[in-house]
Amino acid sequence: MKARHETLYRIHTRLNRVFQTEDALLEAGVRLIGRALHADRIGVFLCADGDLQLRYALHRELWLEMDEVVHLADASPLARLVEGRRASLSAVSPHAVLYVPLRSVAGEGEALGTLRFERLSSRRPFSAAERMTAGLLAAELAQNLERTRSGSARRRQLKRLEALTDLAAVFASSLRVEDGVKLILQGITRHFCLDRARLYLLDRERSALRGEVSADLRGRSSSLRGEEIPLKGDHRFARIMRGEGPDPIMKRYEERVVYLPLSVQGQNIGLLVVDNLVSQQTIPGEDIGLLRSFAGQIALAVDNQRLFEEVQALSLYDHLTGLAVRRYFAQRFQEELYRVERGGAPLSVVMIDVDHFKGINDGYGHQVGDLALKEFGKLILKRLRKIDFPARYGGDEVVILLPQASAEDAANIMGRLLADLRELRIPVPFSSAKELSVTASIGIASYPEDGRTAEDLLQRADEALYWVKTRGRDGVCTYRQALLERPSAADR
Amino acid sequence: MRELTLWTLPNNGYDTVPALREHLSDFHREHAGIRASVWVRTPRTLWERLLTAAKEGTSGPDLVQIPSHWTSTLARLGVLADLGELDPGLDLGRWPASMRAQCRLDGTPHVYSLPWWAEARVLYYRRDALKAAGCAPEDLAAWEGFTEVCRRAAKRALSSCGLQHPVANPNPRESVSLADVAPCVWSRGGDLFAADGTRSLFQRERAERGIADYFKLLASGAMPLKGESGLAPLDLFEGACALQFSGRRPPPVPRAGPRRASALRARGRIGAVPFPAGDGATILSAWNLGVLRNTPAPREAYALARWLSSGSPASAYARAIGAFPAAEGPAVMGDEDPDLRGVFEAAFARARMIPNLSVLGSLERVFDRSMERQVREVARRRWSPETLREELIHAASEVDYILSFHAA
Repeated sequence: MKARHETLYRIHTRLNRVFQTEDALLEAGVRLIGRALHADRIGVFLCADGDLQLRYALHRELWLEMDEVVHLADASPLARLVEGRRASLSAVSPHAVLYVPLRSVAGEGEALGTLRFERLSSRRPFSAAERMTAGLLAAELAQNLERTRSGSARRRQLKRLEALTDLAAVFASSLRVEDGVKLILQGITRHFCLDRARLYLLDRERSALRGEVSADLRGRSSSLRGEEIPLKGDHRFARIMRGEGPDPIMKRYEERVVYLPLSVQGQNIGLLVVDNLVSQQTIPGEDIGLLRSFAGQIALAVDNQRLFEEVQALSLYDHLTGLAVRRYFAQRFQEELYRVERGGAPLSVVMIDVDHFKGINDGYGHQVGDLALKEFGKLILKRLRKIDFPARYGGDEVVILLPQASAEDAANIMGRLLADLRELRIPVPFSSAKELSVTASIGIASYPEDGRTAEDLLQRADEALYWVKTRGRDGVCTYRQALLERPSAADR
Repeated sequence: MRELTLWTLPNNGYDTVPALREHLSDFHREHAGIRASVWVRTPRTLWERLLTAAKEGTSGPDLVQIPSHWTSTLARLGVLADLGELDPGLDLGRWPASMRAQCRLDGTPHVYSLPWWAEARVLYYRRDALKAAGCAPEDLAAWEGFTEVCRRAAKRALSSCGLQHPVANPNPRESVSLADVAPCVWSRGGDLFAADGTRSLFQRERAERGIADYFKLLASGAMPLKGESGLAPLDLFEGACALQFSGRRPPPVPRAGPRRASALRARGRIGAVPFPAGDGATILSAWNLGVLRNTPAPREAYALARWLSSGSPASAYARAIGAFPAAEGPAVMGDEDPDLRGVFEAAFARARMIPNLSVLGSLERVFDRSMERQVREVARRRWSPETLREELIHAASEVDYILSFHAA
């Protein structure tokens, strides 16, 4: 009896310290128990999914990871041991075996698992004293296991919270949605040990979720811009956005895929999807809770950044035509000039004036005039190259920067645009003609032959435009061409 | 002194560490500046630990033993190092073509693992039990014959031969793996995954029948899930069963000593035939060695991988654990046991491997979880072919969902 108490006290003092992980505690504890109780092998079973899972074994001083399952049938001796309806379970076939529950003295309900002691070359059963000692040692280990588990959970939770606070700060300091979400997704993936995180934002006009960005476990991010998921379809994401529950297939992997709707003031603005599909690791419940609460912060930040971008876009682009405003054009023109000064590539600037626009306004009303400008703006955006930069310069005046285009190239591009413009029909519901066609006069100047500054080039383009107008409008002319065609003062 | 950590799977149960330590003593003699320590991981903990280390960027082992069909998955996730970069002259020519394919990242020439040892499943039987049941080895040629032998052996032969069950469970962890059911699926003319790796096939009728064949053995009690006292079930070589699927050779007979005579008698009672699949098609499982991408000692880790997988060391280790060196296969048996060698040669010649798809490691986890659910149904006496069918349909949906994202 005294020896048993001494053993218990010794093990109690040796285990009464902080273990960083459950594995470390179990190894230390089982090694101590192995010295106190003669057994060739001690197995550590932990309860999981209603079964007992053999996770570790101490076999002849070697600590080994194990992976065996004992399915607990109803009312089986092992099930009764786990439920607390018996103190131990021993057998002598094929050799001496003893099971004791891993349950702390004050523990209620199901045990955390069991310890199994084996004497491989003996059928002599474990004595009553040995069973008692084994039970008490297992209870001591269980108590420490509970403490280690709750300590690990607290440390883990704290680490996650610190990471989320850092992420929120980083996100708040980034001005563009794209940059911000990339950082946040990479951070979530890293700190929550996820395989992948994907963000989709709601496009209300198209009634669809549009992919934004994805980050993976290797820290790589990729654009999801090509993905569009209609909200009315059968897609799983659409179900979530509609507030419907998961389907049976989704339920099967709900521990490995988590859908986090992003909502602001009760309105869904997007969906964050995180998963462990490749690693097939379970996403812990406490992490899901943290991610859900963090999703609210992400939603708010994304919404704020979208508003910021919209306001910025409104100030840079003309609402009617969708083209850049004159101020933005001036900034870009200057940047392009710096670039061509260094690189030597050609640059052309085009000035366009819609023919008889005042007549359209006066004859058909400003609404039709606005519509004509809107359609013209659309056509320009559609027909130009990606590198070209058009802007609304005045009422019906449009200017376009054509980088890497000589005057001749620019004349060709504008010739095609003018041909398309002639095909354009503006509906006029209350007139007898029902529709209206539009033409334009276009003048072109090029760097460096026609000028080296923005002012000079715009002046030359305007002069070329003026020459087209004097020739009868609906045409394209470069400044050089205008110089050649225009009668000199001496001729006049 | 450069310290290396090698993670291995439990190649020979509780003896894995002592056997490998002894085996590595030759390496330590040849490479005085390198010291390797061994840690045994189960397939589940190996997967968990490798993936967690990859995600958290924490240190793992320097060298790792993996099922060959995990190569693509782990290479794709950036866990393994490209061995071609460590050894530009690397030549896989001495291994069979099927094993060479399992060393590479699927669809690329890049090598990420080296074959170490292999096994191809055959069916062992106890001659005395078969005789007592009124059966002959020829009856074990096809699955139907095999199940009939199980039925008859259960009735007559067990008690007379001191046996407990007709068939030993090759899986000690009260579970069923992809490798357990794969040959049954193939023998029914089904398959597990499409050849191009874009979809699952295991939910289709032929595959389902093959998987059901295996589960019927468990559900009928012919192949026990668990041994006595909650311990792993004993096998044919321990004198518990009449039949057993295994890819290993029988335990060696001592060269001398008092146990030699009884061991020889026991060995004489054991025969082997090809897997009862009609055409003898069976599963070839290979275990490879990969160097971790973030190891601080890639050259030394590769030197150990090369040594372990090379001729004599690979043969010696395979012999110690009753398996076959990946390069030579059953040829290493020499004249030792001509009948058994013939059975294994036929098995290696006809065997198929689980494909090395780019996410096979993940798909295997999904499949194994489904099998676990079915084993739980068996343990609770609720299993039926209908529950299996439903489970396979759901598992296939999950697998196809993963493949839709990640198929190469």
